[in-house]
Amino acid sequence: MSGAAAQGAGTLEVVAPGPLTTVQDLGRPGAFRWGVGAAGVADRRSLGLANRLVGNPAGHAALEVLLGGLVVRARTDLVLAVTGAATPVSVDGAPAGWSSALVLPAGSALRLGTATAGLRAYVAVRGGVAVPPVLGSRSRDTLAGLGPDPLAAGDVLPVGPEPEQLPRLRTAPVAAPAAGTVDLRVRLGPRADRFTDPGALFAGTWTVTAQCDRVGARLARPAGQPPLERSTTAELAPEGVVLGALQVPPSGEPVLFGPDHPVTGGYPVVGVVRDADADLAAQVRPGQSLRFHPAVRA
Amino acid sequence: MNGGPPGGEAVAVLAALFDPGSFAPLSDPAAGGPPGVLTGCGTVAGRGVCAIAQAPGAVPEPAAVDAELRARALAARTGRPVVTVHDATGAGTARGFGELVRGAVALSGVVPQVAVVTGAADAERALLLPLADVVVATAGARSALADPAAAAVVTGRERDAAGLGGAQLHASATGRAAHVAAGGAEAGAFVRELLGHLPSSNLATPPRLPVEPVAGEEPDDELEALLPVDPAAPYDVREVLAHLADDEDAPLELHARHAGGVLTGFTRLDGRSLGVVATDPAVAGGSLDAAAAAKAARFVRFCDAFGVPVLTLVDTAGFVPAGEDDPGSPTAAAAQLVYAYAEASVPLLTVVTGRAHGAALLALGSRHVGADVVLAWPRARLGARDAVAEVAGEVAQEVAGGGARPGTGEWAQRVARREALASPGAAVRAGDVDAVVEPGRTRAHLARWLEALERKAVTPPARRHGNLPL
Repeated sequence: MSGAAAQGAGTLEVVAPGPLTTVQDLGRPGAFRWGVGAAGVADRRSLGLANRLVGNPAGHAALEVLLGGLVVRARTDLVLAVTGAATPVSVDGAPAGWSSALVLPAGSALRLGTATAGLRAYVAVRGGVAVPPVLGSRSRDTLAGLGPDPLAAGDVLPVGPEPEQLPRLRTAPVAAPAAGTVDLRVRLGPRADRFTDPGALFAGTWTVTAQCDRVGARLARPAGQPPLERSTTAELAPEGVVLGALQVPPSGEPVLFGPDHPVTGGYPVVGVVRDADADLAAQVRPGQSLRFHPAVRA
Repeated sequence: MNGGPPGGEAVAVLAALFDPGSFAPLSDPAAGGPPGVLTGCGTVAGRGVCAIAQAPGAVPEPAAVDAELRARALAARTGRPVVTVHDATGAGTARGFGELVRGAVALSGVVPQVAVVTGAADAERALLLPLADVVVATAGARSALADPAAAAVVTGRERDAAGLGGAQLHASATGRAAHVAAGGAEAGAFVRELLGHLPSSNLATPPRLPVEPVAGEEPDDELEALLPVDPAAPYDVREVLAHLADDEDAPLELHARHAGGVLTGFTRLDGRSLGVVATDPAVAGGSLDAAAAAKAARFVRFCDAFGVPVLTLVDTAGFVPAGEDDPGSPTAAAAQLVYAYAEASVPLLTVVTGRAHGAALLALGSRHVGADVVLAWPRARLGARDAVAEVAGEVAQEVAGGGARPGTGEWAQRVARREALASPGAAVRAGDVDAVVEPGRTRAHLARWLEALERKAVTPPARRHGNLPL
């Protein structure tokens, strides 16, 4: 029995994918020079936690579920964990633990309700989601169209061989993502000199608009707060951009780049959210407020 | 300018707090008293309470500080709670402030002290807030010890006094404000309800309301339906508490937005006032971090000081695993919680409603640490570690001894067997739990034990005072 499991006989069937569920791992770092972005999981911390809860190595692929709504059925006995956005979890209709190792017996269905806080839930399965990798990663890059397609009802996902490590804890006591204003630290530049007052970024709050996906989130200024004005409308030659970059088109409403950001951009980048805060940014929902703080003090 | 009469919000606090027409001024600027402070006594639901309301303005005259001291002294002599409305807006500290601090400390544990902040309690005045038993703030209130200019130089961050210590910050991050009310009237109403759960002084008993006898009630079948079968699944602990209480209102919560893994507040059972400490399975699995342990510890000591029995509901993923050097000194905070329960002389009732493992089992109203009665619901799971951790430990030993690693199916069966072994029945045999009770009959059990423990008396050993692990 354990021999069969070691060959990776596990399978998971998608009953309903919810609004958008993609397979994600740590992405394709190092391929930038060929025009391939790193992409990968939006909230690395939550993927890592989900993987640790089921005993997986940190980089195993899992499901990134936008706002919940996913229903999957086990075809074999599986161990799963749900982390990230705070979503009601149920197994065959009975409430189950969030941020906990849970057993999904063959034939049972796991359902995620709608997230009450946070944007992206992660479902890790012991052994990892073992779809074929593309350029070394199982991540879906939604901008480039690389990697496995977003999940559709009826998809059958292979599960990889069981890792050595058994689950070591039932529940990880972690807080759900913040529902209020989220604070992010930003290093100004590289093009802060293209703005009348780049420090206006740090005044007041910004609201995440409905234009928010894995590529980026457009931010709007609540009425009465100072705008972020560009001092020149002269175009830049396209230059490389990174995760967390705040690129500002002529409208003055920045786009906060997510994992599937374009490899280059032509609008000036006023600042970059610290890499350590990228996980927080990945859980901010449309309508939620952001406050930026200078990461380096004068 | 040394301030005139108290401002509108402070007046609104007193108006909502006291029984109509009951407030009699002791020192009133309008009647020739020193400007800057109004003091006096009145009744709250028929019981005497002293109040001090500061007026907005600059540093009060020493005569105004004297008036405050006189009101506190009267409260001490007559055994009445003191409610202080902080509304100072000027910088600087009056001469005589040290005596105010000393007076607050002298009254600690003698009469309930409530601070209501409607304006500012900055600089040295900020010290008076943690010295009160409960702090209620209005939405626009603030309190910061540090000088904003000095803080800006040191931190490089320009923040005004509200940025350093606004009401929202004190409600969540610091936990200094037990409650934030929209305005003065709401704050006064909250304090009125709070005082209804407390005795006038440590020599009195909390008021008991006349109610129908609990013993005559039918078992509560709805409560059982609220509880998930999976011990790791979250549920609404406030709704559970509403079922256990006399009325369906959720408890009067203190510090609801600070350290949400544990809930603290007052409720009523069989007409008696009851302090509740309940882990919240919907917040990080009801786990305890340093802030949650300190919050619960302070609340247990508050209840103990004023003779309010403590009901502890336990369903927790345990203490948050933390490094010893993590912020907040988690082990010291856990020790404060154990100390608070061990030291308490009020009736201590514990219901293990779900998971209780390891140090959390010990720290939250354990029978061995001093709880009088520990009940458990059939869904409770008790033990040194959760079943997943137990099996991982066992397998690691087996593998080290040359054994095979179980596959997923076998592992799941072993976890399920382990979980069955952690039943509350086993905990009764082990002496950790007194009895397993149905959720629907818990109210009746608790009412009976509260009755039985009504005259609980503990003679403390002769000592100056214990050394709480601060």
